Amino acid sequence: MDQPYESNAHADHEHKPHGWRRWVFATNHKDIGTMYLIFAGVMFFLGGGAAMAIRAQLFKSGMELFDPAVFNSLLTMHALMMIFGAVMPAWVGLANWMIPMQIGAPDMALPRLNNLSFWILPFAGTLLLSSFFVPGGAPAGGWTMYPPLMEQFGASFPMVVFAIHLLGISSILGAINVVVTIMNLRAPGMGLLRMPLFVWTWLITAFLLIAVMPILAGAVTMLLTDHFFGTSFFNAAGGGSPVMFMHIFWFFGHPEVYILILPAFGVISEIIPAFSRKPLFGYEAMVYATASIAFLSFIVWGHHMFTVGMPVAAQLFFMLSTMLIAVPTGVKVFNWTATMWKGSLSFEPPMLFAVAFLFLFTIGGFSGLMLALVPSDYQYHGTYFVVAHFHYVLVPGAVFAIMGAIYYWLPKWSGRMYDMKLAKWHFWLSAISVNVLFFPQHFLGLAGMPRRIADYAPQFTDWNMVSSIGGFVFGVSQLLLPYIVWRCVRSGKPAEARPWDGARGLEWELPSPAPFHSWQTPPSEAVLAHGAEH
Amino acid sequence: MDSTPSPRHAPRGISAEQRRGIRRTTWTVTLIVLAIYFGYMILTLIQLHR
Repeated sequence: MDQPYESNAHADHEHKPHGWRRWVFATNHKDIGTMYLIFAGVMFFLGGGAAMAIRAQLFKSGMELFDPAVFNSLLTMHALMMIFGAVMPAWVGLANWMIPMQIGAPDMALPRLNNLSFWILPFAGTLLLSSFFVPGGAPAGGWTMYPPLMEQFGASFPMVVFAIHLLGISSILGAINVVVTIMNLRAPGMGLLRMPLFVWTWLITAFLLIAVMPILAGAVTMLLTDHFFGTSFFNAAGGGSPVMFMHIFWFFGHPEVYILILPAFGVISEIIPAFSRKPLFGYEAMVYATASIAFLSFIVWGHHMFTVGMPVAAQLFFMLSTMLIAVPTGVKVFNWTATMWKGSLSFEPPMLFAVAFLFLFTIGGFSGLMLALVPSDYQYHGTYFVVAHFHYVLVPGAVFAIMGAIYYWLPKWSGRMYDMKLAKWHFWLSAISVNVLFFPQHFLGLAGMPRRIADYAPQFTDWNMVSSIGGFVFGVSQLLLPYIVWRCVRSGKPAEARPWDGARGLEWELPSPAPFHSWQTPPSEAVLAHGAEH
Repeated sequence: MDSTPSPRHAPRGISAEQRRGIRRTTWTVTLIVLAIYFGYMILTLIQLHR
């Protein structure tokens, strides 16, 4: 067999810049990936801090820890920080780290653009956060930014619009880089249907980003011109339509949900076969299912707006198209389960997070089906049931997949093993508390508790207390992750090139830690086959 | 295989053909982004004036 990685061929290139220049002028995909992950971690804890404050206020009826306007700002900023600051950058960080290593490329195709897309983020994040300190406070109209409510927030309005523009530009540049890298830098012999699932899901995600981020940018640009330049896109008094904003926003907003979750499908499709010691069941079906979900995400936006009012035919169309998404999603859940069937299973931390994802994401999927039914949605809309639904999809869904990905690839990144026992503690505390946190919110919603309120009627107190306790435990237990990573990098035991015996793919053909420049010479067909069939 | 002038500015070890592919894909995707951004605003205007 060929030597998997010819490190001596370019030993002179192993030197890397030192000090601050290494990070500020970074063009290396691993350095940029690391910075993305650190940024996402910081935003995750800031957004988590806002969530803790929200749960403290809702601990019991009449708490009054915060003024209702501040509460609404905390709620809005929690959403913006988690979506645009934590989950999306975490996926871009993982894409940066893993895509070149998984396709046999030396780096991302556009390294300087990569540097720019990252360094936009800290400025956009600071701009967003600093809106707390301007007259009128941070925006408080929810992440959906509906006019005319959104335009009533003084100085913070243009700041948030500009921050959204910057975050959008960063995402678009990142997506362009991912598409260009995957289309042009795959190792010889790696056809599209030989790519790892994480690469596939990211390619589809990148197309979603390219298709919908300009629409969000367009929508907020029109908001801005309505406010400052006298246009009337969404101003009813001037002949515009606020409902049109809702249509445009959700035409972006629904694919955005899939931007957050499709890479998670990719990660789970890497982890489950590795710890089942079997190839993924139905690889091609998984690819087509991902593409189908992405396509369907463009024709379901109306389900966010059933109660706004629309013709019955439109309601029927959006209801049926939404329910159709259950088919490719069901294919995925079936295939993950079939991969585990009769596998030689072991439950290391990445697999624990993947299995929890499988169960808990499916709960979020089921409540999504309930919300897709027009008559039921009239009952659930605007209640805590919706909050429970999308948090099940995003926390034990997207966030657990990110945790699983970190625990899966950390030995490859750092060259060291982490403390398995502590990571399992992290998993069990998270998995139990996340259910204590979000499951009671289904009951609260069904009982009629509205979302986005700073106080509530006393009959909702019991389940809110339970939910808040779950929230505090979940929040505190997340501190274990940076501690585990820090201890691993500092003093973990050396990791082998393939620390998980069932792991497949080119990244495991590289030594651990992966060299500064990944595949300086493209891997041969033999290495490719060895990586895929190990 | 041609060599890359600087390790900092472009991935090393990629062929001239790949370089052309990178340029072509980058421009195509960038034009798609711009078309969607402006196209959507124009569509909104048309819809409002119907």
